[in-house]
Amino acid sequence: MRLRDLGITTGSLSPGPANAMSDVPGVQVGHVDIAEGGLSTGITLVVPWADEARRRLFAGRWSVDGGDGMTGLGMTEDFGVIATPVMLAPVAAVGRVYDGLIAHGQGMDPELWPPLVVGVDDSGVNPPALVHRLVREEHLFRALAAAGGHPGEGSTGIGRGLSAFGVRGGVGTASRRLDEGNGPAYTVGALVAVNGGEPGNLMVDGFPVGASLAVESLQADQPRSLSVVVVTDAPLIPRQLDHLASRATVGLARVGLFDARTRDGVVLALSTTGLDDAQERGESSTRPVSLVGDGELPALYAAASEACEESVLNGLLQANPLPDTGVTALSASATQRRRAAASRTLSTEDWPDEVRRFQAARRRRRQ
Amino acid sequence: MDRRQFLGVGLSLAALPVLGCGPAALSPGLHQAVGPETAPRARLRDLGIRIGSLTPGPHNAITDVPGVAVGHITLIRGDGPLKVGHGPVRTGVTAVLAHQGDLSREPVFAADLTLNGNGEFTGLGPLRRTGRLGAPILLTDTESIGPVYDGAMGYLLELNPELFSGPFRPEPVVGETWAIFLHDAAGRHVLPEHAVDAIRNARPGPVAEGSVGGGTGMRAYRFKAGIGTASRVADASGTRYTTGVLVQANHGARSHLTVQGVPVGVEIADLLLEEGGGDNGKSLLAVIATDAPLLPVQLQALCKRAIMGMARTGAISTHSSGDLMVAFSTAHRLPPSTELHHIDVVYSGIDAIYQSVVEATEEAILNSLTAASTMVGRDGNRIHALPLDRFVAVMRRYGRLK
Repeated sequence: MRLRDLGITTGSLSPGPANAMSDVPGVQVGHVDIAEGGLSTGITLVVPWADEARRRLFAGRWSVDGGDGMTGLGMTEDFGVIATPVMLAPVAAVGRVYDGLIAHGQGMDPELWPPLVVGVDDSGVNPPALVHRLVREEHLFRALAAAGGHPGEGSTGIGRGLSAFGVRGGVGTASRRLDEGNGPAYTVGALVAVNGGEPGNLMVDGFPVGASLAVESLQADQPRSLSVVVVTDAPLIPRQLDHLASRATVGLARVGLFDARTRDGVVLALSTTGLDDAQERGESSTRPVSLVGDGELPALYAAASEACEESVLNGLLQANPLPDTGVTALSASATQRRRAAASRTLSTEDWPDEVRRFQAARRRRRQ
Repeated sequence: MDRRQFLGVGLSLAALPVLGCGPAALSPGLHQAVGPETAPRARLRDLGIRIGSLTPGPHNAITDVPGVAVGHITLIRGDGPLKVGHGPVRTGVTAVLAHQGDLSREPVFAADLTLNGNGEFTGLGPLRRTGRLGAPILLTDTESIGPVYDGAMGYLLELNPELFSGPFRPEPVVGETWAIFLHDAAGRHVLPEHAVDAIRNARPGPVAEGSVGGGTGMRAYRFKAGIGTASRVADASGTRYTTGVLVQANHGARSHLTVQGVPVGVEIADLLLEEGGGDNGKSLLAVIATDAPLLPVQLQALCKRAIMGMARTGAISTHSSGDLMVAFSTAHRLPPSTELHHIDVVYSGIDAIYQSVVEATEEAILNSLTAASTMVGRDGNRIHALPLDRFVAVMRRYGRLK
């Protein structure tokens, strides 16, 4: 179930047709689930280019507390350009995934450097030593092959091991489409690895859902990191994309995920406009670049904020209960304890009604 | 003495070479710099010392980048004991304009970099937010940031009364280094109109160096220094681009001074400051201009290369330094707009521009040393000029000069 299926909308902009990152033309998302040895983890990747000849994309980045480990940081920050898929993987498997991308690139894709792997901390569910031992290149190759249209949500890919607000987290996505009447119809899509967040802080469109949730407070050592990828077809240059990335936090704060205790997280923002590689063979040392004017930026920022906000709620709502996989026999006691603390999904019993009434009352007051 | 009269005194003493005189007064070769103590001064290249392998532009100055203009206001007044509010005064303002039009309506791409943050460049918020420079860059002494900012803001608002009504709201980019050793810093002698005059004085062409403008009270490697500039023309994949650097140098311990690998500061270990007051200023400001079409991320890479030029002169960037860089490209003017901008940017061959920045920064710092004359300021504090005869002799001894 997604947020809009509950009759709840947030924000003022309209979503794209699928209300997903894949509404940005050409963008593909893939997940691979990893269940070996009782693990509940996986890898999620975003392939942000539509055209192999234009896969050098401008990129921006924003981080909370420096962010989780992310490879390819030098190129992303210093050049503001990437040419590789974005991989979201459990932290303990970052080296394997990185190496797998190198191996993959050596064979068939020389552009694939440096690999861009964002580590997401799912150690609340998965013992890192087990992740380290069991995640293999084969999983990465399956993820690369799985990239396709509408991205799955909830307990899939990297979403399988996440927890947030004291319940199951997951992968969520949403999109916003700027009104054609007010300029070009750019689309902004977001994908959030929903992880972290204090149980009491969950908010839906201003209504404090978390205040009445019957969940225990998080353990002090519960992972509190999040990762976000924002993609747009608006032509933006790296500096502008840094700021677009930063606007994710506005949406994350509205829903309560981004709070004082959320330790770290990274937001990547990409423009699919791309640099034309075909010209590289030409004589010119310059390359044409387009960028939106200042006047267009506020609407794009708003779109990023709204898409991120709704992505978090979609991720929570789409999550499945954590299956009893027997992994506890292999895991450290800390993992067992954390695992138990967030194995149930977000209940939808009472709060959707209350949110709808709250929204209706607010509309009446405004009229 | 009223403000205008005061300004006039300063101008008559030190700033005239910039304002009124043509290239004759600044032609290559040894020329007489004006100041309390005069000795023949030169540019590094006039001494036969060549930095790097690239060719400078016609003026070997930041103004070789077409459209870029530089103006100085130099304030030198009084001698003897410090009397706060009365002097002695040893400061000024240097303005660097990316172009002489309305910058706030026609901004250019820009970026900045902090090497060590014990310093100030105002206006970096809008510069970073938009990746564009829409205001003059002004260099002055630490205590004068406020009036210079204020004057520049007035100038911007006069040119563009709509400055605060659009999405692009540039602010003056005002940098500082500390002139406390020579200057009545607490006396608040710099006024907003000095900043405006520095902007209005800005011209293309030759740039006065040494104890002028914001560099008036400054020293580097414990020799008198101040403003220095240099430029390079380089070929990036078939296109020739000009890149220029202007520094306000107020950094460095004597023993660090290095020229082409020669430990000049070790060889000339005397002529240190006659310490009559604090000596804590250790900062370098570098302004980098290029006509190469570069995006803000690329311009930030140029800022990093300025650090390398600085390092070649021996600087280590101390903990108390405010070593700050700003770079801009004059290639594209990007007015505030809701329209798409379609531009070309350098994609290959940027290394030639990197090399230009490294070489020009190194030479600009050394030019600030060779151009500045010995100066005596408050309480009789004296900063010696780098003695050019001994400098040349050292360079000869190490085989760098014939």
